[in-house]
Amino acid sequence: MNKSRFSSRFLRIKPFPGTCFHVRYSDMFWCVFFSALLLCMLLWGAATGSYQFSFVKSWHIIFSPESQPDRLVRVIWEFRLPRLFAGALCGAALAIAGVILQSITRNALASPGLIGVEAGASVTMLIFVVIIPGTISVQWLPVSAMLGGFIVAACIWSLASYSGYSPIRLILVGVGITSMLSACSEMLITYGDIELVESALMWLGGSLHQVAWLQVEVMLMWLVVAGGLAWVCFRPLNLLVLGDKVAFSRGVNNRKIVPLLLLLSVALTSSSVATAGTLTFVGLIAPHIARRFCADRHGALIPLSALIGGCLVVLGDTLGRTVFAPLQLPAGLVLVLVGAPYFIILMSRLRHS
Amino acid sequence: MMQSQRKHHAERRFPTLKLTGVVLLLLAVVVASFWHLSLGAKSIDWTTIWQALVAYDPTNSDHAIIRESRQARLIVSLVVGAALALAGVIMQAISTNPLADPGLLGINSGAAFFVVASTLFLPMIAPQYLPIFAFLGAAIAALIVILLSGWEQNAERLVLAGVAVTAMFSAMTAILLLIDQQGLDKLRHWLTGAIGASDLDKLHWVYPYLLGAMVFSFLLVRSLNAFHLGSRVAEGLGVNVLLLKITGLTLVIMLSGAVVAVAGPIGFVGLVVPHIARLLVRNNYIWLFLYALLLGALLLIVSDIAARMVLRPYEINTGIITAFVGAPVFIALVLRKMK
Amino acid sequence: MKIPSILSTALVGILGLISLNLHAAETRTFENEFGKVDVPIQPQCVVSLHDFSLTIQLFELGMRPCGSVGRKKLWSAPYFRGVQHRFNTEGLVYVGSHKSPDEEAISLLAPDLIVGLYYQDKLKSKLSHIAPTVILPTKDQPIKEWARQLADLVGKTREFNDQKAEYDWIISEFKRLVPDHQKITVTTLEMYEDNFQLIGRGGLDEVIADMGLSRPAGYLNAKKGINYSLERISDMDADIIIDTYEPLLDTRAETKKFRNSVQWKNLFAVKNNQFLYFNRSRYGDSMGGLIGSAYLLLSHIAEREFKRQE
Repeated sequence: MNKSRFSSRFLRIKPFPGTCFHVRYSDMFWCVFFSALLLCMLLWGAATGSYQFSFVKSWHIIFSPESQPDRLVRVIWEFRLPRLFAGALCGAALAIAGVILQSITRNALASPGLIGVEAGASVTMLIFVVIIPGTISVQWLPVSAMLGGFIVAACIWSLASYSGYSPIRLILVGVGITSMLSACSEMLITYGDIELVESALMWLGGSLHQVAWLQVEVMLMWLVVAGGLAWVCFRPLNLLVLGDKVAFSRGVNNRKIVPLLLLLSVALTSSSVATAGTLTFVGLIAPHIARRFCADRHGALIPLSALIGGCLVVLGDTLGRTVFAPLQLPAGLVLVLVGAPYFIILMSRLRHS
Repeated sequence: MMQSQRKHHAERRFPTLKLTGVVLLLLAVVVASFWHLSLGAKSIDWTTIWQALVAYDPTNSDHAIIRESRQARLIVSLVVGAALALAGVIMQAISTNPLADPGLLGINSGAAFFVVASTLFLPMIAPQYLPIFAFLGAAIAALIVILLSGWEQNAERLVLAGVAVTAMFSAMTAILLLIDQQGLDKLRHWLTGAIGASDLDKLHWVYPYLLGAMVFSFLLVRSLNAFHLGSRVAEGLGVNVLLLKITGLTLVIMLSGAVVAVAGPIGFVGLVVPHIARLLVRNNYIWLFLYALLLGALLLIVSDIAARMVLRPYEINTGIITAFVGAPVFIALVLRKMK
Repeated sequence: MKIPSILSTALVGILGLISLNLHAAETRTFENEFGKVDVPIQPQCVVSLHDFSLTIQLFELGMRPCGSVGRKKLWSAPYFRGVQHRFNTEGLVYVGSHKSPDEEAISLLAPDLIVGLYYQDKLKSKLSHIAPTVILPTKDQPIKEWARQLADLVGKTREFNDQKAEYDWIISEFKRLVPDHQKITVTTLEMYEDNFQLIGRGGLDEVIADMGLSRPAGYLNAKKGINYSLERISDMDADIIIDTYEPLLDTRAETKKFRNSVQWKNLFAVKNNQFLYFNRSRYGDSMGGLIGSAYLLLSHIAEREFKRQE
């Protein structure tokens, strides 16, 4: 009796001899559902704006552009699609980074910004844009932002783990260094030339305004590589959530796996920040939403949060573009506005359960 | 052991050491104040300062500088520092969390957001009412932090909830400043915690709240001393713990909201000062409060001096200096205490 | 993901060839510090990416832009700084803020020329898909130079020459009436509640340089764009001090307290009624702004009894 119930809820996959994955039907359903939702949101984003199209029309423009007037094609292909794809990819990357951090620190309030990548990238970007403008050309700015992020993350990691890894210490040291770096950013913002500062502020708010196809391709590569590696580590993540000792007893050496996972998280976050600025509320919210569908099963949690993260950023960007049009609001800020009340309700319910 | 007990008893009856400490701190504050008044774009020697304060000569431009700009700035620094330090002591006491600070827990950002929103949406309101909005913002931020962290005695959850709330309110403030571009011009300087001579006027609207909060907090001393021994012990001694926490939180909101309304969000003072005070006077709250007030004032005066001197002729905002000083202290605390 | 890039490049290539064929007769190459652009000879619909300089200049040349960047104040209608009180802006379409103009809104207007400032260089590649985009050297070159380039772009060189002639006449008039102009010192600043910056609005700095007036030593040693403490105001004392207020904010009220202080009243310029308080948005950074500011300075220095610090 138990066996039949067991086998009816799971699908057994045997990709290689000796390995066996059990995938729940419900998890698969939700993954498919959210993929479809993401596609719909992309279509909706492509259809919305100063030029309003119907879904059918935007479908035609995307898949058979030769038959459509070139002005409309240009609007979708040059202006909207790069932003939408970049937004979806950055949202996915940040969501995965958020899952990793929340599982490593076993704390539901951890976000990818915690390890200081955002703050490091922002300060680096501000230094190169406001203090010493013109020292490096525009295309090297994202790379320098990434480097800044990596350096700060390395500092935080070394401070937090010099006498053994402790999630509490990681969180708190991260908060401390992030506050210091934000003070630095604020100083640069207040004392910089207001023209340069305003464009820095737009970028810092998480703005997809100036994204081009090249950046979309680069982001895709980072997401596939780092996100894919993170997905492969779903078993250790499942165990880490249960506690260091439990994980150790099952063969997960947290001295080796935690730095690797942190590195993946930093890679995902910094590539996303370099593409679109700071969007990290996504990394805080998307894993929580995903957990309502698949609990802590990281095999499904990672792809699901990635899909949900993508949907959220596409939503934020489209709203930011259209609500006060033609004034543009950065996607990151819109998401905070939209996501914060939901997040608070979610967290207070979590506390009671 | 008998001898140390006797000495301890003697000290309880007449706390000479602590009183000496208070006097020394007062002296330090006075010296720092003179130093504060003498530094600036132009260095003025101390005899001139004394004359300006005592025998004011309106035609002397040095006297004019001291009376008109620097004195105001000094008074604001003193009051702001004292208020922030007191708020920090109370906050750390009621949340039994050594890492609590109004800036870290989002209270400052909430108050700042409400002040920005009221300045932009309701420009017709007389500026005397701005502090009310600051209190409202501080209260809502505190409420959200409690909702998020669950009022557990869990240090990291509280801090992370504060981080999330700060991020929320900062984002909302940023959006407001983006859709009102003049607001950005006007407010970006204030938003990093600026202490200027004009703040003395704002202080006038706010001092009743500050004074009331400071006086009231001294009334809480006994309950706080009992609560420090533990929640159950306190209840056994007749302290209503819930009432204590709510009153404490209200006082913190009033103190930090008032400071934000005057000088913008300045953080970390409420984190650092209680720890220094505790190093000096252990845990008797009446002494802790006294020391915190004086140390807070001292710290802020010194930060203000540093803010003006570090990158001459640029003047950095004091809020930035306190962050640069306070964050490393915070990290050092974390590394020491959390093993 | 390779399909979109191949398709879009092919598409752009085909469209480019088509458009080249259609417009070959009506374009010319315009070259400046920011590169070469193929622009139409007689543009009908110009979109300006900065209200306070480019839009005003276009209006002054008689070329009404069809769209312009502007400023937004919460939920009220957007306004174009420095434009509304001088020109009729009916029909001028708001296309966003100067940091991130909305490309779709611009595209809806179907413009044939887009003009921007030096810091909008990064937007050029995206906006070039809509219409030829020209970036003007507003940072490195004086107003006279980029206004000349702009007039050249829209075919209004004659109107520009009229403006330039008027401006040159004012300068020569001033130098005639005040032969020892280099002995007069001027400070241009902007005071705020707790500090001040050294800024000259409406082309004032350029006018002062053209008129051959000099600056006090404190001004020359200081940097532009930094907030200085009000204590240093005595370093900036000069024969004439010019501050500007913004009518939409309450800057006059904010600085009133300091203007009643002893420090301020001890300044030479203030004691001799040679402190000028201009409206910051009355004249934009355009030729008209230069002319207006030049007339003001001519009037305030050459056409009244003027005291100097000697």
